Amino acid sequence: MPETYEPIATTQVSLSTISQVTFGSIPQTYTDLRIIGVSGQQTAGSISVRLNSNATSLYSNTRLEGDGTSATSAQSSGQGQWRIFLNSTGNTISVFSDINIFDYTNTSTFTTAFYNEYKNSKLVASVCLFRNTSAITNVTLDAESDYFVPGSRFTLYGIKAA
Amino acid sequence: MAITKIRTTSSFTNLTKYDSFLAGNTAYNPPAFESIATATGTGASTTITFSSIPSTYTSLQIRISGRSDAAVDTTYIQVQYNATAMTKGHYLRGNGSSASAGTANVPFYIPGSNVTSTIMGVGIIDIHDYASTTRNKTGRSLGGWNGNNAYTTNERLQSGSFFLNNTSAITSLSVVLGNGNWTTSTQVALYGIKGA
Repeated sequence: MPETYEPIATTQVSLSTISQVTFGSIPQTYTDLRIIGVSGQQTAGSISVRLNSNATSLYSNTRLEGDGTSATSAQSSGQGQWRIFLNSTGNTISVFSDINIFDYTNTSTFTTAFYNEYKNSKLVASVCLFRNTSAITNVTLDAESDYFVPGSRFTLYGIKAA
Repeated sequence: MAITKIRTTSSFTNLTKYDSFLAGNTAYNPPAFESIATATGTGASTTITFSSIPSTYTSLQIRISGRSDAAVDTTYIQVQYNATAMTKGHYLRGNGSSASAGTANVPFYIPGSNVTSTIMGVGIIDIHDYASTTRNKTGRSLGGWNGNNAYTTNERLQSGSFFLNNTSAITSLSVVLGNGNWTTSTQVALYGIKGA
């Protein structure tokens, strides 16, 4: 029987040519998932998150951003991914990301998540939708520009309700 | 009643003697993050309540995936401690078009029945030091929902803080809808987090 809050897997990028991290065969025994990442990309760019390797236009989000000067809000719809984990610059690991995926085994509802992201120039919070009712069995993170900085680390946790 | 004596010459053989009641097993360390209870919406109530909350944790966390059956695009939720609504609250909100701030005991918004039934609102509410009898109670929240921009600025993300000017330990927690009843697809889970 799983613990209430349990690490499922951790991936630390060890090579300079890794552009994708995948958490596959996710156990269906939890209620929610959480991914914590500390990462960077070698070239400026975003990181995409996809569920079940689905790259169709089923992703959307509403986000809130603060850059130390002003607060703004924006929305993306009909996307092929959640474009989150906004990139660090200068080939350094400097982005802390926290994504919560709720009720991921439910096959009657779409998947909703939210994330927080922190780096030295911006704070971003976003609520995200994946318009598909399949249970989530894998999560893929892609460095869109080129590669992750070696040492980038992502941990997947499972959270189980009573 | 029979009395049985175990002797070295008895039929019990290959006995292992332990000096600890663990008998060679690993000690169980209870986890710091524990599930206390889970509630499902009934379709007939605006309120979901967790009562008789143990005082043995340091912090509480509520995780929500839910909807209202009110005939609206979106409605808010509120938090009550010990059946008392929060007296103060602040929020920062984004609706996809603009960011705004205000004062209200509104942790976040969830969809109503005008929204496709497969879309859920989600959120997390944290309350620290809930069992203290010397400190007023403060909580924080983050949550909202997205509908692929089909509901425009009613889709929103909100971060909130809320305060109750009362030092009583929290023994019950309620999440209350602004409009309508929690649907039967709603799941609300209460977790306890222990300190060192």
